[in-house]
Amino acid sequence: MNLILSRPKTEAEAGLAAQFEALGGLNAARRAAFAQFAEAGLPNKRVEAWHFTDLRGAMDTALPLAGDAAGPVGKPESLMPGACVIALVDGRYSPAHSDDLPAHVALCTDTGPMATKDSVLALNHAFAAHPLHLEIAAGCAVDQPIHIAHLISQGQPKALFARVAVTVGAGAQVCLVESASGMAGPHQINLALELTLGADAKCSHIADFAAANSVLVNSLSARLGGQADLHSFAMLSGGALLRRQMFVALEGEGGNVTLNGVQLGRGEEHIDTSLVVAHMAGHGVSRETFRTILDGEATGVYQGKVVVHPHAQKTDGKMMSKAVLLSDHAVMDNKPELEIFADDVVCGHGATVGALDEDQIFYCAARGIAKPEAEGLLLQAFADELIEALPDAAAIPHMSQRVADWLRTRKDVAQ
Amino acid sequence: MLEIRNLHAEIDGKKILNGLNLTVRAGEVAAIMGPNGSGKSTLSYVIAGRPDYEVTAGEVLLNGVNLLEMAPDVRAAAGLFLAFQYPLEIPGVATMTFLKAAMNAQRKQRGEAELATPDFIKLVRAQAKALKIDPEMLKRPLNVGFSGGEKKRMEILQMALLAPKFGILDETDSGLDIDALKIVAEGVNALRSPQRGFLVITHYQRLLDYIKPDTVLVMSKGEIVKSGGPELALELEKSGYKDYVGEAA
Ligand SMILES: Nc1ncnc2c1ncn2[C@@H]1O[C@H](COP(=O)(O)OP(=O)(O)OP(=O)(O)O)[C@@H](O)[C@H]1O
Ligand SMILES: [Mg+2]
Repeated sequence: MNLILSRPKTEAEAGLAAQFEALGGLNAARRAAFAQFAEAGLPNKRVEAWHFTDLRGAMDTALPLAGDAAGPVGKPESLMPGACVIALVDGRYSPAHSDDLPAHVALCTDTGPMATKDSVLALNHAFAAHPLHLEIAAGCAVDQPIHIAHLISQGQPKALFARVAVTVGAGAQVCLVESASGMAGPHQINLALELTLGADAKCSHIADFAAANSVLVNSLSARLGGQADLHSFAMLSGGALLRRQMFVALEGEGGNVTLNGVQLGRGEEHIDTSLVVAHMAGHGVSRETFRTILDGEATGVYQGKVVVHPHAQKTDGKMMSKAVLLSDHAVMDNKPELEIFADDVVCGHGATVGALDEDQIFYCAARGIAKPEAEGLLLQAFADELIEALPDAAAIPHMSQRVADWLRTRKDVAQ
Repeated sequence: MLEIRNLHAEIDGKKILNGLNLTVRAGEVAAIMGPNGSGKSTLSYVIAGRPDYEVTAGEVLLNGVNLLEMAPDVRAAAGLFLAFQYPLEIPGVATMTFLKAAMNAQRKQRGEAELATPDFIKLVRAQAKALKIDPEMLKRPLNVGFSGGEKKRMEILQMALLAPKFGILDETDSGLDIDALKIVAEGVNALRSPQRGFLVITHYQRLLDYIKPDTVLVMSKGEIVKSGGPELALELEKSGYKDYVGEAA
């Protein structure tokens, strides 16, 4: 394939190309995916969907690919009591670290292609050598939450590509937990989760990404059949660069999607939530609600686009992003967008950025609560408002504790 | 107990308090009355330590200790309580959580052990009952969506729990219905003791029928321009402030 790049490859791009060549003998789908990546390169701020996040700048080199769990592997943190853990170590399903699958859940390694316009997701498709595919049988409710735990073996900084697809059959119900832990590297991590929800299927997805000092891009792609329901919540913290990107298509009538998240950034961290929700059929409902807390010189991004296709009449869409800045040097970029091509829809969006309310802090102080504790109280409440809306109450304590831990360590971190 | 000497304070460059002097002895209740904008709330905020006010001169002593050198939370732990004219809403923080945080923060500052949860709950329940506050309300975020009167009652509940040495009530009576006024006044009276002092800011003499003041002070343009006994409030009710506002000008 002849690619004429208008610019020379960066060191990281050249490194990725060399690594990909060295893999050799790959199938057409993976080669096509790499070609797609190579044409676009690593995204920087000139790419509209990456307008606030410069991945090209954040990746100096292409780190060596994570191999076959060279070093010791930690245990995944328990996020929900009683969950069935499915561990992916260095991007590969590891039965040794996993529990037995519950009834109605089958495992196969064949992942059908899912088209993407995003070059980083294409890069994932090119490099993820061991995609894992779970199938939830139609009409079945899986009673145990399934916890997809991404683990990285200890050792040198490396690149991790992991890809998981979950097909939720018509009328089936499942709670999926996804986590990346032990990610202190600095590593380069590229995770993808592809969800296909049949008609009337219901999926609750609860994700926890603590990126530490690594570069981590996590992509959630979801396709919803008629009346299907997806509720996804993510806790994002840390990250030299942490981006969660979501591509959701409501393909059937009456689909319902909720995308929520809490972002916690400090120091020089950069945390980005970007999403595109496409209403392709009528009577769909989408809700996106995000809360961001930034301290130090951290940057937060919320970029949300809701697209209503011409046939998607009676669409009901609402987006809200609220950010609290704890320092004059923290920055929040909000860009909610609506693209509406149908006439009978109700859509709205809002975004706020501000400091904590000084009057509220004084009120707390007048009751004896010192400023750091008062801030902690108000910030915990700010995040908990979303956390408490989790449909799976069992996940609330963990998520709330994540915020509490972040707040508690706030004063220990040199700003 | 509370002594204010030559207090000058301003906000955004505007002088509000102009050499105010005031003494409240232990066990006493002083009522402050005065026209809108005369600086009554400003005085209460300055005593409590609200950061936007700049004190340019003067002292505020509580039992001989200068409050002005302390952070607001330290003043609270030292025994000062302000019932706000406009209590703040604290979204997402359950009233119970807030009350516990406040009580324990003060105990911590004074080097006392945290309250055991059952003791705390018992205490809150008993005080809430006395003030006729529905226990269900304590589960809601503090003051969010509370009616004006409910907010005022909640301020008194906080005062009762925190058992301060000195309480300032800034127009706690406004917004209260006739029955609530009595309940709140009883709550305040229950706290009266030879060791405790109160500064009660009000526009209406009616409150002073229930909370009997030892002195009544008239404030105008950032100064105390007149002081007298309870009969002064009755007189003001009849003739208004016209005799006093002129003097300070
Ligand atoms: N930020 C500010 N900048 C300028 N002036 C201010 C500011 N805040 C308050 N003031 C002024 O200070 C004065 C005193 O206000 P304060 O609230 O203390 O009055 P008050 O006696 O409590 O009145 P009321 O009886 O209406 O409650 C008012 O004239 C008010 O407009
Ligand atoms: Mg006032």
